Amino acid sequence: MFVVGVGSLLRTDDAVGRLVADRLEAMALTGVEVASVHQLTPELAPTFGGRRLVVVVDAAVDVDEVTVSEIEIDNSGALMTHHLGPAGLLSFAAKLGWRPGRAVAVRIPAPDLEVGTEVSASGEAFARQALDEVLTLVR
Amino acid sequence: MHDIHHTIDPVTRIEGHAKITLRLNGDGEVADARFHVTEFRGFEEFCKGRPIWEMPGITARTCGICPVSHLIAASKAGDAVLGVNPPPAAIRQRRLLNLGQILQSHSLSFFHLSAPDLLLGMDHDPATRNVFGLMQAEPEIARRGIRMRQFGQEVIRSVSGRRVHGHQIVPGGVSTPFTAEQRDVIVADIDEILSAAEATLELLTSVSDRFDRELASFGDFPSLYLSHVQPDGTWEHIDGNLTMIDHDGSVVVNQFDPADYRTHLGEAGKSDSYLKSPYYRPRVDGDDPRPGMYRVGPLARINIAERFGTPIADQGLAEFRERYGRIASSAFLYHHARVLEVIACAERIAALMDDPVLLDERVRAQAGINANRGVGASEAPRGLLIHDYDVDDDGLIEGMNLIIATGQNDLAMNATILSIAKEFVDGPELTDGMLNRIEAGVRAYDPCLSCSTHAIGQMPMKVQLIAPDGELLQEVRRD
Repeated sequence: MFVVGVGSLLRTDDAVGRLVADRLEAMALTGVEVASVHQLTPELAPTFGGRRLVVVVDAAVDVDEVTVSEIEIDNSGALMTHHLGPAGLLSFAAKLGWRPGRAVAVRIPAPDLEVGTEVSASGEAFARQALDEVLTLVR
Repeated sequence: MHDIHHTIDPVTRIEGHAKITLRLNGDGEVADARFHVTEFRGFEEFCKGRPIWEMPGITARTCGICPVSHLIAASKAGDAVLGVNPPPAAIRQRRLLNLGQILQSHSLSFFHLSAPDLLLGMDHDPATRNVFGLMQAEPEIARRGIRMRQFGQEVIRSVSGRRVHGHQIVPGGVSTPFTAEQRDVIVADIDEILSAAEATLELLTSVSDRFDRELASFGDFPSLYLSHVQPDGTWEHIDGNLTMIDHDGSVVVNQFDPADYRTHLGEAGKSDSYLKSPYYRPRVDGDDPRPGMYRVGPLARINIAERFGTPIADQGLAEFRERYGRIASSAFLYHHARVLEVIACAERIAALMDDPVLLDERVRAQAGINANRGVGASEAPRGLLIHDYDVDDDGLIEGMNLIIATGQNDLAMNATILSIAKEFVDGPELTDGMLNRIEAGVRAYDPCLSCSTHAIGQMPMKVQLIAPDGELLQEVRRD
């Protein structure tokens, strides 16, 4: 299994996905590889290959609570390396033979996106919930 | 008929934001071309007052593509301020880091930015003339490119702590020893990457015949060339002195210390671009820097070096020279030079994996401030990079000058755009094929405008067509 946390460490709650990834990595769970990245890039695609499960953990501005949803392949063709989302990356990986068995997005509310290197109190609470969701998925 | 301008704004598939203006004369012929860089950040100013130890971390934020180059140059400038030589293991780690950087950046340039033109064609539908179109048409090639870049990034992560904006390269050396486990991760993939690099060279060679017109018109003009090179003529990418040669291969300045760059290089500013234009000072008399035009980067490095010093890359270099001559002058050949360098990087990384000194635990020389000026230089993927710092007795930055590869190629990029426009633009209407060739001429240099103006971003493209009286006749924009 592969879990990737995404976000900027300089934009307060945008870092919640990476906070979850860091905490998960500290648990050193057998069979779970973890990455913490600023943004999704095509070079992550090979890492998807052969995985039973890929989980993308990221901050979101359009949710009010932690949500877990299947990532659907984006066949729109409107992919850009500078703006690669989970669906686009999954599409990219699938077309090149690196499709995982299952891909899931854990989306975390990000109430504060101002410049800052610490998540807010609300962001911290959401991060804890998100970590529980990720643990449920990988266990 | 009035004189008119074409403007390409923004320019696409390069790093940063720019536009191109083409001026046509009354007969509809291209009279002049200008490359304008339209973004600005000003690192040279806001770094003032910060301590020398912060410079690798701060200046690396100039860019998300080549932060490693700034990490290295800043750390080397810090070495000079401290008056220390880093331990041998630290020097090897830095070399490994820079090789990984060149490998991943060249892979990005070739596969993501330029291969769509080279493999799908300059006149291919622009909607799919990108890495995703390449992925559809040539999935195995796309896979190869992604794996090569992923490998380079893994090398970077293993040495610097992160794929982007690493933190373990510091004045005096590096902050942590390299481990056998880290080495083994690299060793596990190196054969695959070297094979992929060789296959890429074969691929590029196989399609080169399709581009005779581009080869002849993409900046095929005499210029000076500048890069690091070892005293015996072996390709060098991080340490030692600089050599400048002329278009015929004659040596103009041999093995000069990068700290003396001001003796040889001047910097011209322009009213219509944030890009500085360095030039070879002795050839400029007056305000026009163009007589001092020189080129840096992969093409300059392989023109200056006698050899790579690794067998597979040297075989490729010999075949390259048999085909294009000892000094290759067409900017179109930057692509070929880039792929040759990828092979050399892979071979050198493999050799470093067998070097036991790499794993030594002494990795950092400690000292206080021993000099009030420090200059650090290295070869970024795009060419020579110089960081020049003046510091006070506490190590706080008082003055700073950054000489960036893309800036050094600015005069040549302008000349290249002009040569392409003269060959392909005919009359007041711009076709997509014309636009793309002009962009591709810029792209051949793989400019990083984030670094060269110390700004951030991607590089969309805009072209404007303007009448001599200033009226905008046509504008084409790609985001």
